Amino acid sequence: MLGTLLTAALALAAMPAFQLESAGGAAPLRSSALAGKPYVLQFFASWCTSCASVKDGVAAALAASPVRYLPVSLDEDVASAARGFAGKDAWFDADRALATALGDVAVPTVVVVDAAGRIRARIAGHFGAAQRGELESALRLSPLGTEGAVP
Amino acid sequence: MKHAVWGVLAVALAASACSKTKHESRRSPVNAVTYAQDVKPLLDSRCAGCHADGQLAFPLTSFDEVKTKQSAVVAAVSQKRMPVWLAAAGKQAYHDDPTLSADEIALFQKWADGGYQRGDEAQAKPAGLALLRDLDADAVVPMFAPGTSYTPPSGERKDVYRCFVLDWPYAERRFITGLQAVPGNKKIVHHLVAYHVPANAAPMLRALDAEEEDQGYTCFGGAFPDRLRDPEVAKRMQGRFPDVFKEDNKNQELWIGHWAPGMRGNELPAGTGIAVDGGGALVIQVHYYTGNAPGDSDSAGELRLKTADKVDAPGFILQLSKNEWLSSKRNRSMVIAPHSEATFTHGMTLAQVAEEGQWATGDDRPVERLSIQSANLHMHSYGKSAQAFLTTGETKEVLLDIPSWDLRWQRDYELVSPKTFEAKDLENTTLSVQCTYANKTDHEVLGGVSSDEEMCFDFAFVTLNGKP
Repeated sequence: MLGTLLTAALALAAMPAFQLESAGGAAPLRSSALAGKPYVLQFFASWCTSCASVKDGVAAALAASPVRYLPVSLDEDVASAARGFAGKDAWFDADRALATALGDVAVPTVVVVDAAGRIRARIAGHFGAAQRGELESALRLSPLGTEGAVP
Repeated sequence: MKHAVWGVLAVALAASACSKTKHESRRSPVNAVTYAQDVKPLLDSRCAGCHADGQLAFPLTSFDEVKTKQSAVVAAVSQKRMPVWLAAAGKQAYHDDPTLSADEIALFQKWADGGYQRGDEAQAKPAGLALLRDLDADAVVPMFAPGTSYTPPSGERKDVYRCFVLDWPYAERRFITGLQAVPGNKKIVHHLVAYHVPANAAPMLRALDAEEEDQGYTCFGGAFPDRLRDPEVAKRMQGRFPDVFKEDNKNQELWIGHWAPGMRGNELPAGTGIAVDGGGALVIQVHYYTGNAPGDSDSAGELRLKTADKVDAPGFILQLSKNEWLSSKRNRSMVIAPHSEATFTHGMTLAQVAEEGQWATGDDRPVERLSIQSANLHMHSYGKSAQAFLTTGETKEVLLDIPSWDLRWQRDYELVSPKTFEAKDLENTTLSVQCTYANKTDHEVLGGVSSDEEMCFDFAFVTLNGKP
């Protein structure tokens, strides 16, 4: 089991460096500021009707977790980003730079990044039982930095 | 279960394809690709069936609507995520395939590269094609009486299956040749399935409906209420409606059609139809998903039917699956272990399919020919890939291959060339469904009827020609 997990960990893709604009006028968020900490990105757009329900699913999975949640808008402009479900708490991916660096992300997509800066899970589209379970499984792995033991 | 489409016009896809010469002649001297000349005709013909006012998704029918999501549009088209078409290319030809050609996709990228130019909309050419159209119906059945509505509970469980019992509009036996379900509140209606229930079972369903609060009753596996699985309820109903419980196949529901987002009116292939006896009841099973609009009600919606008094080849919707998979809690016939993949396959000989068809169509003449008109694969959220295929000896022919499953986009794939078999070949040929699942969770997943369990179905429209 441990061998399987280690093999899987070695195969994980590294999260690219990025910078996101704040929809609320705060300072930009650079990936360097997140170094050593796990986080969950949720890509959304103000026009994406299914993104809000994905947000509910992610919120439920993160309810008892210290992992940081970052809603990232793929709208055309930062003003539209602020009109999405996360309002001014949203982050804006200007020119889809991060989405492109990740190999063209579509909305809705959830990306789980562990404390070592590796992509633990990338869950696109419908957020049903399988996807909720995959997110919960990814959040339970200890390298995420949540102090849990490797199951 | 969600599904879609037969019929719908496959008229002249080529008519909407952009001729390079024509485009070049209309473009500016710098040869810019513009929204008006190049992009709008493609959006109108391939996307507006869903992306328009009153449809499932945000509208994309004007420049202002497109502008706010232009980069997402180009990304979706370039990555071939849109227009949605899950069937692998090169296996079969299907009606209503909206897939864009490589040249058409390139136009979207050039439009982005050129700065998303608007162009002159006064000079824009019409799309000339609608993949979806309304049905020319001869009967319309409203789902709700005036002043009535249904509000699905908006608790933690967001999937609600509700059945509504309605009057069947025909007194005599008819063949359904087309069906259009018009959902009421599209913010909560996920899909619906229409059934005909014979005259002896209809009073029982009305009685059960009256016992349950609010409009309709809870139903998951079909037109009959979930409560009938309760032995006490079943015993009580058996006392009142003994005919319904006879095992003579004359008390069962008949699946007559379905609606999922993106569908409008669907006509069955010419000369075919689904035989339905007169009287009885129409039961519409609605899958509500309340996650997008908790607290919303449904008070509208209707079913439109087109019928004929006779057809050349009566047909039925085959529900190809292994029954025991749905009871995996008890028999463990479908188990997907944590962090693993698993594949399940089930087949029926065409002779068995014909026998089922004789019951469903009410035509017990010996079958001279059998035709498979369509395929429609169904799994839940753990699905990874699936196939429907025919085998004769060592020869395999794939009818539908979905290499990357997405449960949001399920539909009928109607074969341009139906697969037709003579009586002598029915015993030697098998129709199979195969489903592969990927379980990335920490718990095992079982086959079953709820949305956190798994299913594996091919819903195929099959027609029979009886010996004269």
